[in-house]
Amino acid sequence: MSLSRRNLFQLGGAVGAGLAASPSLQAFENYFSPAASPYADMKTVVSACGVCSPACGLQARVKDGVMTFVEGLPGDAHGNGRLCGKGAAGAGFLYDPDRLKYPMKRTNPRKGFDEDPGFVRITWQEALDTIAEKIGHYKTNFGAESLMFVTLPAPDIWLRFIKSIGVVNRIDHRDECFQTDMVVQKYTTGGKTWCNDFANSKYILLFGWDILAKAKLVYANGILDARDNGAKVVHFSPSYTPTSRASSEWFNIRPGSDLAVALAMINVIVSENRYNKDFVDTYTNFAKYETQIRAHFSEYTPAWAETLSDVPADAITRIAREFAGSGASIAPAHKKTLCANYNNGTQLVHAISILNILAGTVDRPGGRYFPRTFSVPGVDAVYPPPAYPAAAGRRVDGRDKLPHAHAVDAGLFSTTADGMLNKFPGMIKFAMWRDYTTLAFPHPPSMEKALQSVEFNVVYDFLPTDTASLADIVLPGTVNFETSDIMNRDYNAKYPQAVARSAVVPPAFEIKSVGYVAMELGKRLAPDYFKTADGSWINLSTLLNEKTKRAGLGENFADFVSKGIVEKKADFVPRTTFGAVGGGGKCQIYVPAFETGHGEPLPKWHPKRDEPDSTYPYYYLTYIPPIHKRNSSQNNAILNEMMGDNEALINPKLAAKIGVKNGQRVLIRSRAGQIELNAKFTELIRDDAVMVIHGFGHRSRLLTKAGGKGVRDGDIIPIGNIDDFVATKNFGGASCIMDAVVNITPL
Amino acid sequence: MTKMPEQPQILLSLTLAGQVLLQSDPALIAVPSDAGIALSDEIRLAQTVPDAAVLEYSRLFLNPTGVECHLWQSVYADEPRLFGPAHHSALEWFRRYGAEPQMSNEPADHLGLLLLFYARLIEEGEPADVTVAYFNEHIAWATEFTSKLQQQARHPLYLALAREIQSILAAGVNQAM
Repeated sequence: MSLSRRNLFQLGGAVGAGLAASPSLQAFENYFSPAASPYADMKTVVSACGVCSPACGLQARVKDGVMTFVEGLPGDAHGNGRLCGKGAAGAGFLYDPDRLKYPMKRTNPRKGFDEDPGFVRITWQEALDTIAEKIGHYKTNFGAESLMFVTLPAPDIWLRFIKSIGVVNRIDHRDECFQTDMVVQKYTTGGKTWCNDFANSKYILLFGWDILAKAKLVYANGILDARDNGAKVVHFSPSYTPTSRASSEWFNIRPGSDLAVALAMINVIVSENRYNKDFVDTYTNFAKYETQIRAHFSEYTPAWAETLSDVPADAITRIAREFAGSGASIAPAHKKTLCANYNNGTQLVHAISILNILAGTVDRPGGRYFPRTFSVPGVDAVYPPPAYPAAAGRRVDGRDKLPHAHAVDAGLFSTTADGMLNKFPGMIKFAMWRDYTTLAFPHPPSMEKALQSVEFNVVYDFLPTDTASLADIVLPGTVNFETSDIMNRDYNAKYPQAVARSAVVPPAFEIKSVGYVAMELGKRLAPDYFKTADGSWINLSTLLNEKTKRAGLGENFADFVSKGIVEKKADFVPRTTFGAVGGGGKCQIYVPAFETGHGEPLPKWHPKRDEPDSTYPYYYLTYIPPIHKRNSSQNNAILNEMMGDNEALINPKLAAKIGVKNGQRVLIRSRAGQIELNAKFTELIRDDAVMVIHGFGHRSRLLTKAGGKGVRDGDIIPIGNIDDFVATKNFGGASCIMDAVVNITPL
Repeated sequence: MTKMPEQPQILLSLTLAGQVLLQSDPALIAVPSDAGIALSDEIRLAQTVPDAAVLEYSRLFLNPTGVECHLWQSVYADEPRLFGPAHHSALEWFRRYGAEPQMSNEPADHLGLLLLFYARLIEEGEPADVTVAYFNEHIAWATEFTSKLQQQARHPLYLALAREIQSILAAGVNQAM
């Protein structure tokens, strides 16, 4: 591009030089500066995705501070140089026109989706001062239990802030995800692990999880590699998914009965002594509890399981034998591996863990293994804080009634609305939401009703979600392309590897990171926790540099970024001691700790919470499609174009039985509520179930693409009740996010 | 080719409209005493009760109050987004004339910036083929914006703004014909 002869910062041309600045020139000078360079600035930045937790490495091309192209990062252990569709659509998140851009405050005190909040732009200082004042007010007058933070406990500086003010009620979604596995793995093998060595597996047993399509490219690649290597993949699922298609065998299992099949497989393996004797004798407590274990599983025969699951007994027997005999078998567990779907999720993941232990593949090639990662210190290691105040007060979700779930400090979305509405009405006065919306809760109407009693709501998010519509203050939050961090590879980690997530672009408008929010609120409310030893404020860039250096990834973060990927190759040495709590270095099949805390030392059969009956005769299934990330991507223009609405997926046989035509409007009712949407025929689900895709039905009219599109699947899923969880031995706090039964009426 | 309206009038029109789009508080906009256009009168009136105009600015232009009228050209493209091709193209225009927006972390295709730059091109007597090209690339799209603004605005200042931009568009179209 050639430069013009004109200099627009002084009058010339037709108007004439030497004259006083015109109004046009004065205004121009207020908004423009002389260009630093006539040329566009072009660069490539190494970073990491933010759509899901493996955070695949990526490289982005940037023109003048704008991301113009994104692709996978070669050599990255997670993405292996690729991105999934959601990751490749990253620009749709970053440059969504609807993004929150400035801090805003409500001027209309009346709250509701039919009310115009009357938001006006305010400064960050006013926003932070107001929030700090409100937190201080409610904490002083109503105790720390009156504060609710709806957020994951990361990043570490944000958690420090939450802990520094003694928050009792930090809740997150993990009871809808892998919380039950956290509880179980802590005691059976020694902690949650994401690592599944699919590529070296010979036999992969998948309960429910649509692992190929849901997300997590690292797993999808692993499964496909396993198939290429000749592994057998068996999938149990009430709907035929991409994973079913990639599997060697698919069983159209009855919803909520996976536990029965898993128990029967253990029965076969134990009764026929097909377990890996070397591993089980050396590294587990099987011998100590052999009598109890054999007696316990003896009643769970394949014939019994068939009556509950519709999976033929001979198939259960055959698969159990194949699984035990392959030499490298794995049964992974994760969200939608029924960890969270049904009331018996904790027992299921315990049974799955036992299957892995019996196969002898815990931390062995082809099995679930513990990641070998760089040790990256947290902020508390770099800048040790004063002792945190005790989190004294009542848990609104009642989590403390489930000691094992309470101890892993996750959840509980499912019981929070019940706590706010019924058990502790009026207790929560202040709520701060970070990157969650009411759609994430079972039965969003209950949470919306509960929010009406919260006096002050703050939302930190990147989009004006439904929750933002009800907020008193909204804060514009970053997406991954605008932040920097150290990303350990902990899903595929035979040896340590880390990717530098460097900010691809600076935050636009007045968007700020949650680290900034933590620091600024911390300075106002708990300053002693946000200072270094010399009394100066913690600097987040310095903190990142120090973490980088201590982890051995570079002299500082910039040095790490210049390398992009740092790894320390080493041979995989299987563990010989395991960190299972109470196991004395061994894995635990029988978990004595589960004798207390409403648990069971060995998994017993429990039915799902809601079973079909004459009023609600059909199972209700929900599904997260490969195109979307739960409920946070429907406004992404790229992804919305691929799927912008949802329907009631129904088998034609069931449709014929109840008189529904393809495309016809149907009313689906459960004991929790009703939804209305169009039927779509598919042969891919059971003929006693109806399925609705999750993530649609955003009510916020502020979301241009997603607002008002589709229905909320959660509107007919009952909320959880902590007392029911206790009574039914749901001791890991599974959220029952598919545990509903329905009737269907053509309209 | 039809001539542009009287130059001082179109310059003032562009300058005031640009500032109203960029500045939520009308009290901070300087209005020449002899402006003589409707928008300038409305700015002066709004300056007497600025809070109402500030609230309306938020409702019309800023998330999350309604976002009926996005301020950025890229949002009106076939594939709506922030920082789209129009942002880069606007930056190229600005740099060609040695300028760049002071708000470096906001899109360059903000209609207010585009109007202020247009005013300077005209004021500097750039040839018609240049101003017409710029109009076609970076101003003509505002028809859709103006139509939305006209539908959504409840405050007289922004109704006047819509009319002012309509006049600018009409003048630009006439010149381009």
